[in-house]
Amino acid sequence: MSWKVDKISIKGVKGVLDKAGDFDLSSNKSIAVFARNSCGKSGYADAIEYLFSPDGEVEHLGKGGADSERGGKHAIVHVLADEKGVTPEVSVTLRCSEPLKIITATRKVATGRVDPFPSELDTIVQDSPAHRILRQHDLRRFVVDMDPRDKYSELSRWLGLSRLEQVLTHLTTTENELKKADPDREFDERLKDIPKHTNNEISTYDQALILAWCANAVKKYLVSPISISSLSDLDNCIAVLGKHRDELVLRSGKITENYTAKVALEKYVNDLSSDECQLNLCEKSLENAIAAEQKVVQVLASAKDSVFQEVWESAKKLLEKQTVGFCPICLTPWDETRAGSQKTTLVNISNSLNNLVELSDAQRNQQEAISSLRTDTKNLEVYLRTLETESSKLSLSSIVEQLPGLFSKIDTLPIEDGLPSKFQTEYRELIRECRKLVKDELSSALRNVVIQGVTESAEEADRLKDHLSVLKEALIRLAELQNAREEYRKIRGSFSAVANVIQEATASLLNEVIETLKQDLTSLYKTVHPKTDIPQIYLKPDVETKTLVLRVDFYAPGRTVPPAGYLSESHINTIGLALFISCARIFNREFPFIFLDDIVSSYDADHRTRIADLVAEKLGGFQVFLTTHDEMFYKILKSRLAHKGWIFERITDWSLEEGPTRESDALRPEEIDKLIKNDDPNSGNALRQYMEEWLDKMCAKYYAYTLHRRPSHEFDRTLFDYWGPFVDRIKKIKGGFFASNVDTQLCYQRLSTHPLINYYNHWQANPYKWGSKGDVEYVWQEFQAFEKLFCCISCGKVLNYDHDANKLYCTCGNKIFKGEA
Amino acid sequence: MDKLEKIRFKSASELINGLFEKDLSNRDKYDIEVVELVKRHLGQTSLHSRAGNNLARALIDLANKRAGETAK
Repeated sequence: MSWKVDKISIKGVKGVLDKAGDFDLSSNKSIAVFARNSCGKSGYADAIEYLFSPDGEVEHLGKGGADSERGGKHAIVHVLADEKGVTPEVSVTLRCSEPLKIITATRKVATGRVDPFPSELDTIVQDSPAHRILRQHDLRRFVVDMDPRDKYSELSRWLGLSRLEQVLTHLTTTENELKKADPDREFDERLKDIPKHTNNEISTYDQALILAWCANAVKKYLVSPISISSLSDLDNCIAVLGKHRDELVLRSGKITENYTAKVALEKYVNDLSSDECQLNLCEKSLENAIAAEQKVVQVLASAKDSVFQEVWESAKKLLEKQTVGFCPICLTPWDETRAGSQKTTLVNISNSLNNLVELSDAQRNQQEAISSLRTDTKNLEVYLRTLETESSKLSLSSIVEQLPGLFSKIDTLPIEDGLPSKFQTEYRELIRECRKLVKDELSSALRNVVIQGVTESAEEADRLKDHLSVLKEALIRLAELQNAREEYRKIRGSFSAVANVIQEATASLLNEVIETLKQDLTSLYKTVHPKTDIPQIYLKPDVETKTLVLRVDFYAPGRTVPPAGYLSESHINTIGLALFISCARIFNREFPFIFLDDIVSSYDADHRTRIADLVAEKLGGFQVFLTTHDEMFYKILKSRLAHKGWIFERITDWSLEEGPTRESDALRPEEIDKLIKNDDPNSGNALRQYMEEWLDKMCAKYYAYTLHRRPSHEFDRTLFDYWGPFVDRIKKIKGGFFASNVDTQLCYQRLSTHPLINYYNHWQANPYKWGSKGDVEYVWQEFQAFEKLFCCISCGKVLNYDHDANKLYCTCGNKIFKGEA
Repeated sequence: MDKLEKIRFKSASELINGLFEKDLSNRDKYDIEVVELVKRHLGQTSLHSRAGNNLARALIDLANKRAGETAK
């Protein structure tokens, strides 16, 4: 799908009020506009830039308010637009051939914050993201003014890389998170527990060896030695050791507060998995209360209103005893009731009464469940209070500090509302926190508690018990981690493989684009500077740092430098121009339209021709809107592109109310025919220009020397300045060409005497407005006949001139004019 | 522009979608569950701001789940 511009319409924008703002570019035309300074040509660029700007800005006007230094958006609007009732707007009509589709988008100029972009252009602009307006001051912007991050940002935007970049960033985040969560780290940490709690006698993860050490260590505390070959054996061993410790303490009679507190807290940890644990009781109560609540809801849905209970009971008693022909409640005959019969009614009444009973039961159960939950929650509070008291005795501040928060959560639970489903999340979270506090933090804190004031042997037994507890936990966790890290490594490896594929594909795409861009850029650059002193231009993107560096080889391969520090202004501008065109060629294929506003200002005459070559040869697939104040450049373009679908216009004047005065610069006969047919007021001037061009060309061909140097033209010349010398010259051609083929012809005689040839020129008052359409048509017809005098009568080709022989000839070899000698 | 007309670069969406549909669908080379998770979290047109963290979490859960199955 490729969009072409059919029409552009500009009103009330910059120097264009309500005239001279329409451009017809249908049939894939391009246009070049020549105008001296201050004739409003850059206003067209501003209008187009505004139309296609997502945020409605024209960059060189800045983002400030009306009073800002650059004028901001307010400077886009024509100063008389409001006064003259002209709505400032820019419209474009676009056409797509396959599939056939035409859209027109209009953007009214809005100077406020709300400035919606025409939705019709959304997809088109997104699919063609490279810049489409290039002005003189933009040429060095990418090359010099943008830093590498900005350059990368631009490239990323053209290539639509932002989505890929997001993916790459997230891949990096994932990789970092996986690294942090790597079980290897915890495994290595846990491994340190083994030597620490085995008197440095074992340093490796060998479960059998560790269990054997444990069995050996407890030997002296047990009546008969035991073998510990599994973790459950170790559990039993720890319990036995604990009992032994307690016996030792009891026997010694030194039951200290420190000891009783530790024993009480150990019970907290040990009881966690038992059904009697308060945390488990609370959980169970919660589940019961939720189930009871749901049951009530379910039964309520089917139960009828209990208001009718008495009536139903009475009716049931009656209907069970006797058969009646009507409903005893509403006295309606059975066949007219919904139930249809006494039997069915009795069944329905029985069911309703049963539902009410069921509802009553469910509600009672719910009350009981809530009461049970309330009780268990109160007991939880007691449980935690005891935990707080005992922990304080052992100065376990890390445990004590967390308890006020848990008490506060208990207080805020809305248990009295009787709807546990509403607070079940908070309740479960509370239980989870309590469990974590006891299982992880309390058990860990207790191991560091040395019971004091008891006998040495009791202390030893207690310490060994703690070591064994740590070893038991370490072994359990190490086994889990051992298993986990195998799977973890596989997952991480698989993820890395996937991530690499994505990263490599992105880098590959980027390199592909950069290589193509670089080749095209270098080729375009060399079109302008063929004897280039820059062997190579480099574009180096870095996806990780998100930078793009532009460098050139200066005078020798390998002498790589930044362009800004070493190249002249014109070279830098050429890189900028080449980059702009290259990016448009690569990224804007869906909408190949560009605007070039005065891009040759910094070039000398030699290079202007090269720029014209660039435009003529490298922008074949594009529609170009070009403006220039360089008449030489304009004429070169015209000579190359007039027959290739380009329109040429001149702006000869500008006024605040009328805007630019545009005139067609048509060269082709069919264009002049069209202008005359349409009664275009510019037809006279177009014809004059046509004749001037033709005569100028013929003077050069026949070596007729005119008063003015060719190809420059001064404004005080007349057509006669060409006509006179030309006629004088052809009179001297041998073979009687003038006498027999020109002088006798009516068209020559008529033109010779017509005021156009003798009098009309540029500096006369209003010289471009002729007397009548008839005059223009007349001169045009006669001039076309005059042109044909210089064509071969045998084959119709334009005659050639041999300057040395001073003769005319045609390659067909036949008779070339009437009366030829 | 002739030579350039023949060159066509993939867009970002085409690249990503193509990778998931073709390259990464090879079950012999890539863990399909991992690919599915990456696609679910990073293969959408619009990405969650914590997509990377969420993907990491999902991969860790997958590893733990497989470790649990192996332990059984």
